[in-house]
Amino acid sequence: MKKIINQANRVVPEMLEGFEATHSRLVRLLPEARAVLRRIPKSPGKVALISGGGSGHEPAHAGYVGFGMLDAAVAGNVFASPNPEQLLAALDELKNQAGILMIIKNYSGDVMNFGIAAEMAAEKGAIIEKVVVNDDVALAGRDKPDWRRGIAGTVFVHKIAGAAAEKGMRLAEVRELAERAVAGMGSMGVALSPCIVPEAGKPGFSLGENEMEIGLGIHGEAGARKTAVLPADEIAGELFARIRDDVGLKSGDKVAVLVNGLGGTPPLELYILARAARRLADQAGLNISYSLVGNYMTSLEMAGASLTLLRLDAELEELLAAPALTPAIYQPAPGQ
Amino acid sequence: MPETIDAGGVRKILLLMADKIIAGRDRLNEIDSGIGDADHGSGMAQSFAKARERLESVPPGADIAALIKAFASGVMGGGGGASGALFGALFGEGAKTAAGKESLSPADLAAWWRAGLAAVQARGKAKPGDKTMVDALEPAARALEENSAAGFGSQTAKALEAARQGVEATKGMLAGQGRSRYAGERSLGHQDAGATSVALLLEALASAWK
Repeated sequence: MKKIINQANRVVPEMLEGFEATHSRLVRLLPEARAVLRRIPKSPGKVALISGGGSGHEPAHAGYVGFGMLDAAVAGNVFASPNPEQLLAALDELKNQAGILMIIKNYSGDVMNFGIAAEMAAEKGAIIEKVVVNDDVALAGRDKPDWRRGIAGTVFVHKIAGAAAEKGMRLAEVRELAERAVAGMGSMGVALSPCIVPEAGKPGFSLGENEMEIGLGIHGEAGARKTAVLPADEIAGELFARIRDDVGLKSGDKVAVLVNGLGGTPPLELYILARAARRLADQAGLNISYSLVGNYMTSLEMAGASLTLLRLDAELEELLAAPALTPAIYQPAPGQ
Repeated sequence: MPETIDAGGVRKILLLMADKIIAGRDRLNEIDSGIGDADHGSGMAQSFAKARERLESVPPGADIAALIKAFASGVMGGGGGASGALFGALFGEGAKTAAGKESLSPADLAAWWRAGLAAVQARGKAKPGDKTMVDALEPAARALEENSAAGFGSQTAKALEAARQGVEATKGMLAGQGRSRYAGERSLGHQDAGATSVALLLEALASAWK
């Protein structure tokens, strides 16, 4: 293992200290809780959004804390959910907001720990709703929601729910919009090389020199199948077709596209995938109105990428285009 | 130990459990590397170190439920992940069964683990055969109940044996819950790390009467 670290069991707190030092105008850190909060809280009459999960997915989720997106992000150990005490400490910072929406990726540890924290906070009078993101189409269709993991599409949910909350929408409305996004969204990824959890010191799985894994999750857990490395256009074709069928996208639909790097794939390759996705969308009669390309939800140093397609209606389109001022997504209002 | 456990005895047992998990860190990581992230031991050791810390800060004279509750809060508030939540539930429900009791009989011990099993299943949704901690916990809880007339020594030894057999049986199971289920057939042949941790807890428990 070759990594730029000091001690394997200190990577999360040291990363967070560096994150706060870098983005101190936008965020502040609660060190004990490993929670990143907005430097300037949003006004109390608005709904707050909290997310988080295991570390190793940077810039998720701390990178999405700021105006127009999250109010708090809580970091667990690498690839392990934060515990309920951490989440409760962060929730306590949001207690003056007009309700709280938890955005949870569908992994058992996250669902349990966020669930326990939500129950405990609700006992103390907090008004909390949850949305579980399960955008991964690789292993199961919508008839088996438990088998669908929460992966890169979670970033779109942060953006949409965040913009809705910023507009002053009520908790039930924010939640409904987040669920609408989840219902119209699919993601699927490929890995070309594994990643190494610092405390483990060795890769969690292996891939041959000319081999790739299709449909894996964001921790390197197994995918749908292994195959020889395919050209970018063929990779895009397979991912696109699977997502299109899952979401039920039809000619004339408006969509948002995310080409997400898993950490070890350069932007050069991601843009080749983005080119292929654009051509596939054109052929299918889909109209891309919002695109992101880059490392938005990584798996440490894993080489690979995922594609996310989200069906847009006018409301979702407007919320995606709304301004956001966060460390990882910094976009002005349309036309500015 | 006598045939009831007082608060001092419970404190001793919980410390034995914490130390057993902390000492098992590397072995649990190694077992988890088969189909997991190779971090089960690291997370568990962090959780049980926190549990030990919380237990040690409970003043002398506290009752049994307060001791187990403090221990549970450390497990739940330590390394996080699914294991923090599930092992925290195991002890948290145990604390509830001990409420108001000044000592525990073998039947009380069985009731603790039965309630813990129910809490783990309610939170994690795992059934026996899903290749999880339940596959060691369920037979252990049953053995504690079936042998509660035999005295703690024999009761806990039987529970340990049942848990170990449960761990062994996980090798032949396909994962049905948690992240390892995505490995499908690839999970065959590997023993479950969470079940192994349960067996370590039972090993610590049984060692109190040796």
